[in-house]
Amino acid sequence: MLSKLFVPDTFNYMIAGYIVLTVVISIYLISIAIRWRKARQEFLSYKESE
Amino acid sequence: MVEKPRLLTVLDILSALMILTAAGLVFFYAPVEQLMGQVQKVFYFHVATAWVGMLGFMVAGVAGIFYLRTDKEKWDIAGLGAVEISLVFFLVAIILGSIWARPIWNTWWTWEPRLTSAAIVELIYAAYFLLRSGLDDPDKRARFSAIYAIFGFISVPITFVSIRLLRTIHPVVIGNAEAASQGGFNMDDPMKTAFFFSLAAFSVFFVDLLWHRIRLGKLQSDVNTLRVQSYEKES
Repeated sequence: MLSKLFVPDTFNYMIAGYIVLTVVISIYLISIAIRWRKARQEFLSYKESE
Repeated sequence: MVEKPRLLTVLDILSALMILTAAGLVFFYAPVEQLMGQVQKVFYFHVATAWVGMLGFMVAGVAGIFYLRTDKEKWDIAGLGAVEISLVFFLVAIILGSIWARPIWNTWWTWEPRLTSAAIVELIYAAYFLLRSGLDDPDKRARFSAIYAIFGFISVPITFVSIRLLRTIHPVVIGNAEAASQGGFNMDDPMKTAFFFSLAAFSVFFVDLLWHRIRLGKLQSDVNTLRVQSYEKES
């Protein structure tokens, strides 16, 4: 009971950590999707012009 | 261009479900560590992202060996994809560690062996992209990248063992910690479940991402071939 009273409040650091994790990995996933779309469009345009 | 395999869609769904389950275990199943408070929950994904980073650097080294033996472009594409993914995940691991360190060590960063060697690993693999961008000849680029990835991997086990061999304040959660370490803790069973499930979830996520990245690399290679053919036809 006593130890529970002294658990430090580090909640904001935890939230900051998970925001960083989510944002960085989301940006990477979006970058893969954008590059895929761009390459696919270019591929299809070359195929059409053949 | 090859259509998306059904197995890849299954892997997409599986990795998403496993990551969500891991997050559920971390937030709702694993207890709050009494000395560090909520920030200790960063540890589960900090280790998992660092693990994916190291795994990818190893895959890049193995792909480099296969490229040098076979001269097949697919190994260059696989190596490039593995380094790219690992660079992102290792960066996340370093930032998460820094956020954890602020309330526990009272500093965002300190030049102790683990943090220093991790920063060096990140810089070594960032330089991998500088090397690639500086070489125009595709064969030469793939060959140098393969050699670089093989030798670059030497830095990864050094980082892994640094907290076990050197005097450091970085905690060792599994195994014996150095006496000077600060912020270590004993994992109870729910913590172990969340920890090992997070490792498994991020491993599956890595395989899924690598597959996507290899498909992207192959498509970009096909586009480059078509571009050259189109240019030759016009001239």
